[in-house]
Parts: sequence; C-alpha cells; structure tokens
Amino acid sequence: MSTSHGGTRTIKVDYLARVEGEGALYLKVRGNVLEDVKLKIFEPPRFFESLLRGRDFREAPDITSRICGICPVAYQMSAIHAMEDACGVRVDGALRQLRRLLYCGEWISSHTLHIYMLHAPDFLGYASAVEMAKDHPAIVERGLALKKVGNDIMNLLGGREIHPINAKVGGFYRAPARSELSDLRETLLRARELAAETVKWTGTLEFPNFEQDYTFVALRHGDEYPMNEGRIVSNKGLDIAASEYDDHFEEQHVAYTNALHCVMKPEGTCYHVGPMARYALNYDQLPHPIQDAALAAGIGRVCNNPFQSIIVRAVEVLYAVDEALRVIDSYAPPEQSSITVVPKAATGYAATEAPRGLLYHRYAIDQGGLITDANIVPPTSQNQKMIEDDLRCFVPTCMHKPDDEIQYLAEQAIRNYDPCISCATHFLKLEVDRR
Amino acid sequence: MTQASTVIIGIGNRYRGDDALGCIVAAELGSMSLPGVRCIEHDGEPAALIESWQGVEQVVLIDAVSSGAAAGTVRHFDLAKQALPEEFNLYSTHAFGVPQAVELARALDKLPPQIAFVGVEGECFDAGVELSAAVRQAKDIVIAEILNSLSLGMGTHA
Repeated sequence: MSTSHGGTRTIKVDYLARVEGEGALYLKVRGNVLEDVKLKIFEPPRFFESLLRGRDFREAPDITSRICGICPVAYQMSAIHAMEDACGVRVDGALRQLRRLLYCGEWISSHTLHIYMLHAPDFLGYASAVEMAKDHPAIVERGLALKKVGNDIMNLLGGREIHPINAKVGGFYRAPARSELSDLRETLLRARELAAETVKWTGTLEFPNFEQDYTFVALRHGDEYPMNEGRIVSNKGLDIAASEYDDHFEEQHVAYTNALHCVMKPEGTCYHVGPMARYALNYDQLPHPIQDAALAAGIGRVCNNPFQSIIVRAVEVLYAVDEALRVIDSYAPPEQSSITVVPKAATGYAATEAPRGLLYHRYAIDQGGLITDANIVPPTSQNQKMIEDDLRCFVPTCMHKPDDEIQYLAEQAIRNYDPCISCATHFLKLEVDRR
Repeated sequence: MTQASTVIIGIGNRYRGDDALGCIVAAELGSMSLPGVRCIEHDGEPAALIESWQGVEQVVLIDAVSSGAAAGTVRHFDLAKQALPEEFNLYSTHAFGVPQAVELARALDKLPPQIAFVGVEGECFDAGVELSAAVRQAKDIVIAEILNSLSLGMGTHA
C-alpha cells in the first residue's frame, strides 16, 4: 500500500509474502529522498533460551530444532557441537561425515525451496510458484525433484524430513549400514545433473545492477567448504573462534521489531551472513568443476550483488549434492553410533552454517548436565540490519518507478536473504490467557 | 509391493493436540489392512506430498483445520474440482504448505483423478498428545465416513 501526503510518500507492505513468518516493511520517501526504512518483525518472541534453562544438556538439540521447520538440522548441529565443546568431547571419523551428510540434505532441501518456490517467481514476474508452474512446468518439476533429494537424505539419516530425530550429543542414535546408502547414491547421481542445470538456469535470469561493499562473515575451515565447524572469519580481517563470538558481536533491542538486531562491535555495524558470505570466504574450498560452474553462471569469485544470491544458492546445492556423494562413497560405518559424553560444569560454544548463514549457540551447564544459561543467534537476526541497509541503498536507485514497482523490488530485495522470521524471533503464535 | 489404488494421507503433528487428528485417522485405518488402500501419516512437506500420490487413483487428505467454525465440525472438499478456500490456508513453513502443494500439483497436472480433503475443526493446537473431546468424536465420524465411501468404491463426498 502506498500513501502520499504533503510531498511525503509512504510505502507499506503490511504482510511480506514468500518469507517464513510474519514481517512487514515500511519505507518513508520525502520528495525523491528515502528517509526511513524499517523491516518490522512482529512475531512475538519465543523465549527458547529461557525454556532451555533447567533442561538436560542432551535435550538441547531436539528442543532447539523446533525453532525452525526448514533448518532444524542447523539447530541440532549447533546445539550438539556446543554441548560437546562444553564437555570437552570431539566427534570425528564416520560420525563427523554423517553429520556433514545430514547437513547436505538440509542445504539441498532448504536452498531448493527458496530458489524455485520463493525467489524464482520474482525474476520471472509471477506472484507465486503455482502461477509460475503453469507457464514453466519443467522448471518447477526440476525444483521439486531436487528438493526431494534433500528430503531423502534427511529421512534416511534423520528419521524424517522435518524435525529429524536421529542426531544426538555424541553422534547418532542409529548409524546407517553402507547398503542403506546405495539407493541414495543413485538418486544423488541423477540430482547432480539437476543441480548443474539449476546453476546454469539461475545464471540466465536478469538481475538489477546493484552491488554493496559487504562485510561478509562466515565459517572457514581450511580443508573443506564450511558446514559444521571452522573459525569465524570476515573479508575485513576478523578471524576468531566461536568462543570469542560474544566479544565481537552483540544483539540489540530495536523498538519496532521483535527480532534482536545483531551487530559487530564496537561501532554497531551491520554485516552479511549466508551463502554469499560463505562463497566469498571459501571459494577456494569448492571443487574445480563447481568453481567453473559458478564462473560460467556469471558470478566472480566474490559476488556482491545480493540479487545474484540465487546463483550462489544454486552453486551450494550443486556442492552439497557432490559432497553427499563423496561422503557416501567413502563411508565405512562407525563401530558405535555415538560416543559417551559425560557432562561437566562448563560453557560450550559453537557456530555452524545454517542454509541462511552463521548460527551461533552458547550454553552453560552444571556438573549434572543441567542447562543454566543459553544464547542462540540465528542468521536472520544477523542479517536484519543488513537487509535494511540494502534497502536504504537500493530503493533510491529505483525512486523514479511507480510505488507498486518499488514495493515489488523492495520485497524481492528482502527475499534475497531468504529471511526466516520464525528463526529470528524464535516465533510462536502466542496466546495470553489472563485470569 | 503392490501399488495401492487408494492412499489415505493423514496430515499433522502428533504432539500438538488436535493437530494429531489426521495422523490418528491414518493410523487407525492403516491398522485395518484394507485391501488396495495405503495409509500414511504425513507432515505436509509439499514435495513429498506430491510424490506420495503419483500413480494413485484416489487420495483422501485428512487434516485438522482452524477456520473459525465450531470445534469438531467436519468439512469436505473435492480438490479435483476446487481449491481449498482461503480460510483453510493451513499453518506451514515459508508459506508453502498443503494448499500450495495441491495447487502446484494441479498446475503440473500431477493431481490424482480423485482427491478429497476432509478437514476437522480443531479446538486446541497446544503442545500435548490428547485430542479434545469434540475432535475425538469427529475422528470416529471421519473414519466411519471413509470406510463407508471405500466400501461403495468412491471417494468421500464433497
């Protein structure tokens, strides 16, 4: 909706479509100057950190995975790694590889949903994937087939595709036999073709000419494209362990939104997490054929155009399919599906790479393993201020367009981040029953 | 395994009160081992949902809904002929759930020839494993209806 009064134009999007959760956008334009941008998240907060206090340390992965139906594995992994960090345990070998395989499933599933069902309609001029499917059935069917491969991995390793239940502190409740992975291998071989086609296809889309000098923040492992572990690095010189996160980042309350804004200390600057950050900081860790596919699709070794994030997501899907095949081909079942983890009074820290970016967890536990403190910083909280900054810089470039077109482009700019508002607020429909 | 000609899909979450309705109906019908009928519990994930009915003649989707009607109200829709009304836009992740899966399948010509939706108005979707009294009663009605329509060789009426 747009209104005009005394030379001031206000563009309001009361309900953002094709994002997870309930959010709104407010743009105030005076003359031809954009005066104010507010990305409002009006979901009530969910208080997961408080809910966790007093619970057993082994419960954190399954409780926090309920924060999001799209990236439950990310929550499980960050919680598991943080608890293992607190208890001084390291899980390696086949169990580490299986965790990576499970994460591949989530990346494939989540990214493909966003690429085909939520973001592609923006570029092809449709209101929804359903409308797009009428004119482009082959494209949408390719997306569905690819997404299903991610679901298959989550089903096999996690027990089910939404809120998987097989991962635990110390490993898995059950590790698959090698023979159980053979069908999945065949499916992944077919999926590699679909993923390669997806990269090529995203490269054919038309993108607004817009770039930002981003501060990218992502994990960097050194030996692999990051998923479960690594140091937190930026393209502006940051290089820290997960345990130092709170020294360099802080969450701030902002009056108009229920999600905390996370900023970099000390200046309170915004930064960018997610596929573009991972890609920029880990391009050298991608296999050469995937690097070539990315370059052929039209992005460089660093992509600074947020609208091209759809290409980067497609590149990560191709990588996740390839990596899943590598894990399966080298898989030798572990002797035990998990190792014993004995709690001790300590604080544990972990950051893993959720599809939408860095997901930080910190837990304090007591000697008996009960959680005494918890902090969770999801990617959308970290990107929220960055999204506003993108809008602040992008909207003025299209000020000459009619309001409905500005609104459309602004919504598209928000969807560049695949924001998960449920994660940002740890959302829940809240009912207050007072008596 | 022989391909079932009818698939009963109970959608929901067994740990959110009345949202378990679809799962419970599917489980109870599944325990009857009806010939040519496959019963599955489903979380509503769209890609998997569309996949689940490929090559199937007849599908019945059962789900708890929150449309503002009285708790326990049973509503029927023939999805081969119409989309689910707006008020049945069920909770879903990233605004992409059961209604979108059905419409996407329609656009891609992947809907089964017969597909019915049975919605039962829920009363309480809080965490828990108990159905409310009204929904428990409706559950028995829905099961009886489906058994009756299967014996008559047709989908649930719409």
